[in-house]
Amino acid sequence: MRFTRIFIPAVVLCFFIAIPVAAQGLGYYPVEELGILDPGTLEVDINLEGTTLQIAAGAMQDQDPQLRKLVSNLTRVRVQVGSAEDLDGGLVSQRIDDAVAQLEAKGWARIISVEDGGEKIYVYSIDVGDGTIAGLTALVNAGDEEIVVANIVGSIDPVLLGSAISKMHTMDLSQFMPSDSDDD
Amino acid sequence: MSPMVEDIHCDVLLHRMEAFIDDDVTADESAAIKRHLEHCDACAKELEHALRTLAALRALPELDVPDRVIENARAAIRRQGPAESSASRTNTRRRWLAAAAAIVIGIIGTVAVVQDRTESTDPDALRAVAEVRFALATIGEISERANRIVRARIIDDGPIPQSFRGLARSLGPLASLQTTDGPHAAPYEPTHEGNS
Repeated sequence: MRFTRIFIPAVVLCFFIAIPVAAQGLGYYPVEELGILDPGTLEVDINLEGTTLQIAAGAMQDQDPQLRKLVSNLTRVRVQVGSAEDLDGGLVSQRIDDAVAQLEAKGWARIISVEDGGEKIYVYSIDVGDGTIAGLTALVNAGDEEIVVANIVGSIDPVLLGSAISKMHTMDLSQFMPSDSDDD
Repeated sequence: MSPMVEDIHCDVLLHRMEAFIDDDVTADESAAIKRHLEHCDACAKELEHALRTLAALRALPELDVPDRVIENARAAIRRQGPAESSASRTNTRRRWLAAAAAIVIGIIGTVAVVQDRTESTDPDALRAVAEVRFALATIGEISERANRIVRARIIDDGPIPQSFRGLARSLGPLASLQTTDGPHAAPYEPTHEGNS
């Protein structure tokens, strides 16, 4: 009797929790719920979902068609960048390690896992078996400098994604990055 | 040696173009520049390009970017000179912010392009486009940063054994990466064809 009292509500609760998670899609990973970054101190906080992404794709009428196609197939874009100066480094590392363990337990494939000094970079994807990926999750722990967490969800063609991020990067960033040939 | 047209060198004119546009030159200098422009197509095109860029920048909608991000962008610009001349590990401090700041600057350019090329003037749509680009640029920055670490490691430790899987192969800039943590467990192979 006691088992029933506990078991049935637990099953019902799990059911109602599972519905929204499933609705978010296979590639959904709630990076904002990792409890690493303080929402009040975020440097960057991007949260785009279905309708907004379709509006963005629609506004790209005459731009790169590949980028437009990529964006039109996205259902969620979440990026947070925050300072780690006031955070407990040990706790941050622990939470990122936990997130990595969770991703691997859920079948996410590791694309990048690299460590340099106090900086750790992880990028994971989840494959749906038809040549596309359902999601990409990136976690960066740059020691006491920055934390970056990102999750992109949709029917993502990895070739289009690679091409898009390459164009974005070469267009926007190189001028500000210190020369790394001298860096390491 | 840059050409000299009508008593003024092209490189001098290019150096003074911003002041000329801002009408911050003497009457004599202005006259010399105008004479030069009448005879120098290259400098005339440069001026036209600069004026068009300026017009596009002035036409930008205001973006709701956090003040701190804008300040970081300004700080990144201020830092740029010394950082380039003395690149070191300490110069990479707050590099993610610098990257984000640079992306914000890229977004400003993007919005100008978007406004120019699309019919949409809906600020929400423009903002969404800018944010999507920002997000993709952030992923690009992450992959590029990881790429540099791996490259540096290869230079330090020598070639790393081949281990590459299909997805990573097709991920463009990410494709040059496939490594794992740990000092000796770093299977990685650059994307060079014929590397067996």
